[in-house]
Order: sequence, then structure tokens, then C-alpha cells
Amino acid sequence: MSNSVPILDIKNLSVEFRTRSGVVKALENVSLEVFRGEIVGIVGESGSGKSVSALTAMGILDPAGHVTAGSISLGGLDVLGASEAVLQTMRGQQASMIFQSPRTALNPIRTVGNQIGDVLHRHNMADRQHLREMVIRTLKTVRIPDPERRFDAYPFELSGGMCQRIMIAMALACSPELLIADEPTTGLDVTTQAAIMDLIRDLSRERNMATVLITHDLSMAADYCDKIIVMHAGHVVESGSSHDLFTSPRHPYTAKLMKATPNGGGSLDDIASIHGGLPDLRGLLPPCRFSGRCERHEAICDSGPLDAKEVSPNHFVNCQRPL
Amino acid sequence: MKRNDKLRIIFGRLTQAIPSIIGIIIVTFILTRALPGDPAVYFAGPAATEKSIQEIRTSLGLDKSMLEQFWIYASNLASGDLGVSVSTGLSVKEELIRRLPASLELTFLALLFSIGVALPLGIAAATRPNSWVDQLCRIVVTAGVSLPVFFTGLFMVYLFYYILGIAPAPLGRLDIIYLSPPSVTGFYTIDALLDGDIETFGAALSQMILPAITLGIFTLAPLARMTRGAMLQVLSSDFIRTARASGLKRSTVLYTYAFRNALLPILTTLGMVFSFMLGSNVLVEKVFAWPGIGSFAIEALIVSDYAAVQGFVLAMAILYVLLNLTIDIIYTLVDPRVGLES
Repeated sequence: MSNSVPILDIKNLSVEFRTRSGVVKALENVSLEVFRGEIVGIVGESGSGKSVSALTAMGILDPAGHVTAGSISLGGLDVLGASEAVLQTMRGQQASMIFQSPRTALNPIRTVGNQIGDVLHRHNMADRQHLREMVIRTLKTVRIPDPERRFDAYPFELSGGMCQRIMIAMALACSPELLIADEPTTGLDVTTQAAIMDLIRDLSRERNMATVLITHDLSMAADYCDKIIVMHAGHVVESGSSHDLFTSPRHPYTAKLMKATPNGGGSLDDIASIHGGLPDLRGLLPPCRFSGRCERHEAICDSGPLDAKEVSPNHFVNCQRPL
Repeated sequence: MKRNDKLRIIFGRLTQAIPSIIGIIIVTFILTRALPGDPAVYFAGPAATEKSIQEIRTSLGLDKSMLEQFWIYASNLASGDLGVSVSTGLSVKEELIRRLPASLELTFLALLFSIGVALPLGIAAATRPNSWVDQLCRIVVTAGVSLPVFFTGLFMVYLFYYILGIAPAPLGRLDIIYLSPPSVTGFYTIDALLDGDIETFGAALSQMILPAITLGIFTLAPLARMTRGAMLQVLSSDFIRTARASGLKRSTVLYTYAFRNALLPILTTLGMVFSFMLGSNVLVEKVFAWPGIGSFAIEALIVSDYAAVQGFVLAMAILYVLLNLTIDIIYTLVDPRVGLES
């Protein structure tokens, strides 16, 4: 499957935000590929550029953000060169996205059925007479009980988990090739989290979709993803199969991130925090943006540009002195 | 919600307003009596003797105690009698029936004008922040609040009537060559249409255009500002991002999704602006010799015309109650989360 053409192919993407207090280099030289049928996790702290990468891929980056370099190909479409009209048709039909806090991500004053109907109608998946029927069929695919009744419900009448199911139904209504889930379980309780993640995994397997899971939860990424990309301060620091990454993390940040993740058996004392915070992304930055927090930092780290090294097959790390 | 439930709740809301209206009646009664100046002295004229003043006082019933006066006022009110305006000699009820529609008609048209300009302007400004539309919106808002109404009114009369000669003389609701249409609603334009008299309709409308624009320019500012602000806030919310990520058309995102959500604060402002306009368009009424309720109230206040002032305040209070109820009902139609019960 990795021999075919990737559905999402981001190459050397750099994004800057022009703000009042200076230019924020939110992404630098980010590359990633997602193939049909695989679930790829993008993991990192808040502010590491996970969501910016996803929004740029969908062409809905905030107007303050500018792509300064790189290319994005989505199902063969050149996202950065395409017109807004083409992008609009692409969104929802070829690629769609689900977000965190599903309750606020849905229009509060429109019934959920109508919201899904809007998407179906926009992409000509159903005419007005059959819209309701189609929406109910879509609701059934995300295992919503009593879909006929739920059609007329408003988001505030549904639980968070139910709203996220609606979001998933909406995203998958037009059978896209790519699904980007941006922290889909943030704000949901633990049992619901598992149910939603299982649903996303099952649906993406069933439909052989390319799926991107954005999360800060490494253990969740390990449970559900085939491949993981670790991001830090706008850089991809390490990427590889979930297995490789977990058994032998090579970037100091990945290793620390794993130590900072609680696992079932250990006590709270075993969890190590990563000292320091993300560097200020304005102004001049060292080649390795983790160097300020890294214990293995040496002169060579500041010497020149950082390139991805393939430490084992399909396992890349951006570090001068990998573990 | 069931239809019957809604009607019952609306009825409940109306009955809830009764105590506040009773309160208003008592307070205005006391306040009008606290006004400086003695109406008896005023109406007796400058050459009056002590005796004639006393006679007028007795004829107005002002020699009785406050409690007695209130009792007379309240029992008259209960039978629908608002008393007689001493300054015009007509019954207050008649005055209100004649003047309130004049003010309402003007206010409605002004509101229509301001909505027609402010909402598109606010939406355009919010969708393109810092563009020329946004700057235009800013200028209009600033001009709207800073230009005094009497100035814009006089300027318009000067420009459109005196210089260009395209507006009719600013002399009330209808040029004297026309007869006022048979009264049904009291709104000249609507009455003329009901009568099938297009010519009178045109005449009444052309009389209203300048004062309505003058009044509208003033209320445009809060509306445009609120529309812009509310739209900006809604456009940055999560569900708009979802709508865009699902590929919905720009027009769908803007109107079906964003604007309907921005409508709630706009409605609130609309209600405030409307009630504000009704009471405070005295200046416009003065400039355009409009026989409205505002100039009536001011004149009554100056001469301590108790019955007229009380009638005016009562009419306004009832209008406020109805207005708030209307706004609340529209709220429930726009936002399913809002119940009428609270």
C-alpha cells in the first residue's frame, strides 16, 4: 500500500503568521504523507503546528497565515494553487475534518439533520426530496440510536459524544478519501472517548480511507495509528511506524514525550515532565528548535541545517545526535 | 412547543406586565406633580389675579389633596378616560390616537431605512475587516452618532427642499392640497393604500422620506456597529470553521450559518433603538413640523399639562411592554435554546 500515490502529500511546507508583535514561524519544512487505508497520528504539544498543518491542507488557514514554501497535494489536487471554488468542492467531498469540542463545532441554532443535509445538498449527493432519507442513512452509519428522531434535534439537546458522532456523520456523508480528526475526543469523558475512537477506526478501515489523527495523547496514537509523526515547535522531529517509534524512539523529544505519558501500571511519580516550554517562534531560531530544552544539546546541534535521517527503514529522525 | 402553550405563555407575559404598568401610573402621577411650575398660574395668564388663579385651580381639580386627585385619575383611567389636555383643550386619548400613529409610521420607516443600510454594511465590513467597506462603515458610524439630529434634518431640508427642490416642504404629514385618507390604522401611507389612493400614498411617503432618513442616520450607527461586531464574533467561531471545512458555499456560511447566529444581539439592539427613537424623535418632529407624540409630550411638559404627560408616559410604557414581548417572541423563533418561560 505504501507503493501507491499518497492521498495527502505535504512537502517542505512552511507557514508564517503575520501578527502585530512580529512574524511567527508556525511551520518550517514540514513533510508528511498519508496513504489510503492508513491511520496516521500527528502528535505534539499544543502550539506545535499540528492543527495549522491540517488547516493548511484543507485550505482553510486563517487569513493571517501565509504559506511561504512547500507544496500540498490532496488526492492529486494542488491545494496551494487551486481556486477557492475548486477547494470548496474538494472540502467535504474529497477531504473532511472533524474538530474538538463537538458541541461548539456544530451550528447551535440549526437541527443536526439539516446541518448534515446542507453538506449532502452542497455536494449534490441528494436532491431535496430524498435529503431526509439520506441524512438518516448517514446517521445510521455512525451508530446513532433512533436516527429519525435525532434528525430534528439541536446540538444543545444532545450529549457531547452524540454531537461528535453527528460531526463524524457530517464529515463522512460524502465518502471522502481523507479524514482529518483534530483532537476528536478532547472534552469527552473517557468511555465516550474510546467509543468515538473505535468508531473512527472502524469507519476508516471499512471505507479504506486515509485518516489523520491529531492528538497530544501519545498512548491514544499508539493504540489507533499505523504511523506516527511527532511535531515540536513547527518541526517534524520524528516519524515512523507506531511500533518502531514506541520500541525505539530516537529523538530526545519523543523519548521525553513517552516518559511524560501515564500508563496503566505506573504511579504518578513515574511521570516525568519535559522542562521548559516551546520556544518563541518569532525572530531567529536555532536549526533545532528543541535545543533549548534538550539535555543532549552540543555545539554540533547549532552548526547547520537539520535534515531528516532515516535511522531504520521508514523511520526518520531530525536530530544531529539521535538516541 | 405546542401552539397552545405558546399562546398561554404570551398571555402570561402580558399579565406579568400589569404590576409594572400600575407602578408606572403611580410614579408618573407623583413625578408630574413634582414638576416645577403651577399649571393654574400658567393658564391664568400674566394679568391674572389671585382670585382667577384660584378659580382655575378649582376647575382643574388641583385644590384637592394628592390622594383625592389620584383616586379621580385612577377611576377615570379605569373607564378609559385619560383626561383632557389643558393646553390643547382636546382629550388626551384623542391626541394620542392622532399623534401616536404619526410617530410610529415615521419610526417604522426610519427603522426600515436604518436596517436596510446598517445590516448589509455591517455584514460587508465584518467579512472584509480593514478593507474600504470596513472604513466606510467606521465613517458612517462615527458620522451617525456625532452629527446632531437637528443639524442633519436642517441640512437635508436645505439641500433637498431649498437648493434642489426635489423634496416637499417640511410641513407635516401631508401637503395641504391633499386630504388625509380615511383613518383605519392611522398610518397615512397604509390608509391611502387601503383606500386605493396611490396619489395620496405617494404624497404621504414623500413627506416622510426626509425625516425618516434623518432619524435613520442616527440609529444606523448602533445597528451597523452591532452587526459588524456580532458577525465578526460569529465568523470566528468553531461551527463556522466546520461549515467551511465541509465545503459549504460562502453564501450559505455567511447567511444561513453566521448571520442567523448574529441576529440575536442585533435584535436586542433593534429593540433598544426602536424604543429610543419613539420617545426621542422630538427634534426631528420639530424640524419637519411632524405632528408626532414627542413634540406633544415636550409641549405638555413645559406647561405642566398633567393629563397629557401622564397619558404620554402610559402609552409609551404599554408600547415598551409590547415591544419587549415582540422581541422575545422573535428570539424564540431564531434561537431554539431560548424559552419564553424565563
